[in-house]
Amino acid sequence: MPGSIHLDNLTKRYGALTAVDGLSLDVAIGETYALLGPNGAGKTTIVEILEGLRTADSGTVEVLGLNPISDRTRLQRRIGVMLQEGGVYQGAKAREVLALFTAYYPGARKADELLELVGLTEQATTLHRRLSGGEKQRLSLAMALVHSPELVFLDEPTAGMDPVARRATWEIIERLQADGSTILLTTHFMDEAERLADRVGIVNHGKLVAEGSPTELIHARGDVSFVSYPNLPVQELTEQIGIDVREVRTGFYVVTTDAPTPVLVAQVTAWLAGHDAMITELRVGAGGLEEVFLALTEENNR
Amino acid sequence: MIGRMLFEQGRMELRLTLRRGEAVLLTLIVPVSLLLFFGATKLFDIELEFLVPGLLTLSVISSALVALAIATGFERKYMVLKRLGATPLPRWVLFAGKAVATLFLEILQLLIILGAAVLILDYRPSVSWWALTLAVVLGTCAFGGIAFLLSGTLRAEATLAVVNGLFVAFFGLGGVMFAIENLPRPLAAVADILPAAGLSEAFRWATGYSDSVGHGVWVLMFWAVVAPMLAVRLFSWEEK
Repeated sequence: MPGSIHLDNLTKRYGALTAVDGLSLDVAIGETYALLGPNGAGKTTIVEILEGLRTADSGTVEVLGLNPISDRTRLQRRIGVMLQEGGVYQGAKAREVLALFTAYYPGARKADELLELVGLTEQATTLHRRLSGGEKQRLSLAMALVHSPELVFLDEPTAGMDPVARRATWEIIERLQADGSTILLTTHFMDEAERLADRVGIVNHGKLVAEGSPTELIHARGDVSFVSYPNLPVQELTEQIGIDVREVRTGFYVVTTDAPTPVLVAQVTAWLAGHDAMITELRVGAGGLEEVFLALTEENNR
Repeated sequence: MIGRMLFEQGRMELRLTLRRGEAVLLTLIVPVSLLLFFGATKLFDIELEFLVPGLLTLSVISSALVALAIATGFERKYMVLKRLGATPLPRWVLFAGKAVATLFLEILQLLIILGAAVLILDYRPSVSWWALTLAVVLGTCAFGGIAFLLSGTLRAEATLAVVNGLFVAFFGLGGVMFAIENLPRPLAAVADILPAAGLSEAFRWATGYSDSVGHGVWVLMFWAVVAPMLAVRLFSWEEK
């Protein structure tokens, strides 16, 4: 099946810093793919290379079967871009910005229709610099959708939004999904990735450290975690069972393993019984994407 | 498609400039105020026929250098230029739109200055329209080139400071109100190799104050070619 995005062995350096380090990635048509990663992991660099705003040092970059640099104009007509911040004339009104953008694309939607789509009808004649952070984000989203593009890049689309605006934005994105658009988004919010993404790629130090559907990623980890009294001498338990046990937050302990067994769970609870430590929670497997994310990015940073 | 893009781009640029109070003050109000003040008071015995073309130079500098560089610098800072790079808008149309808006503003300035001079101060020039057009185009290329060179390489705040400094410097060194020959020798030497004095020469020739142009016009032509070429080479779309 022809893909929407194909990256093979992509590398990008800024001086001594390797921002993207031999990364390969494929996104299918109609799929929503979320790039997750800590700040500086290389997410924005990857997205900007796909958008044709940066050149790769090496590797293959194909977007909708086109080269973002040499096929720039043809590609730009088919993709929609939402930058992480900025990108709008400070002194222009919301409707003026969208009206200008409609001149760039054949068959563009009407500015008023776009304002309504992102809920900015009342702010149509407000200067960009007077919009709130969330309103700026929504205008930026509308700018990405002027020409109903088949592939949309959203770089942290809900950063700086209040919960109501976030939900409204998610609904707009879900409508795009229903219309069959392919979406590549970056985010810091695990709930956003879990809700919107078909597949998630976790990026750290410019490398893809894990990839899969949110459910796959959550179930792939077999960590045993429990909540009990703080400051238990778990070093003792580590030595006893030969598996790393750490108190990652006060009173929250993680036994790091990919293959949990009933015996392991029994050993842990027996040790706790020996210390007269009551458990208030015991879980096998990650509880959510956030735990997976923290585990993967922490392992890499250690 | 290109035609509509150019029109919309030019309209947006002009609208944004006219919305910026300090740009309106500098491009439209300052030159005509100087004209009316010095034209009416005859302070320093500046002849009206000398003053008017000098103020046309100041007008071109205020729009093609100061207003253009500041607008472009802040568009770069706020990543407008980067964002437009992710649309089908060709880069050249982006700059052509700026050129169209600048020329439009300059025509407005020209009409205000000449109109006020003729109607209020009884100014009677013998205007060569093609020479006037040539002067405006050369001046726009030279100062617009410098504007892009600065705004495409410096931070926006630095561009703002530099172009305001240049505006003041050219006011003194551009043959705007005083002939550069009357400047102290080292200053005159500096003024000689800058584009402003040549533009004043060209405007004085186009309005019939002088019968011929001097070497200043060659200096202006040099800047009109070299500054845009350097800008094309060195312009970067994002602040580092």
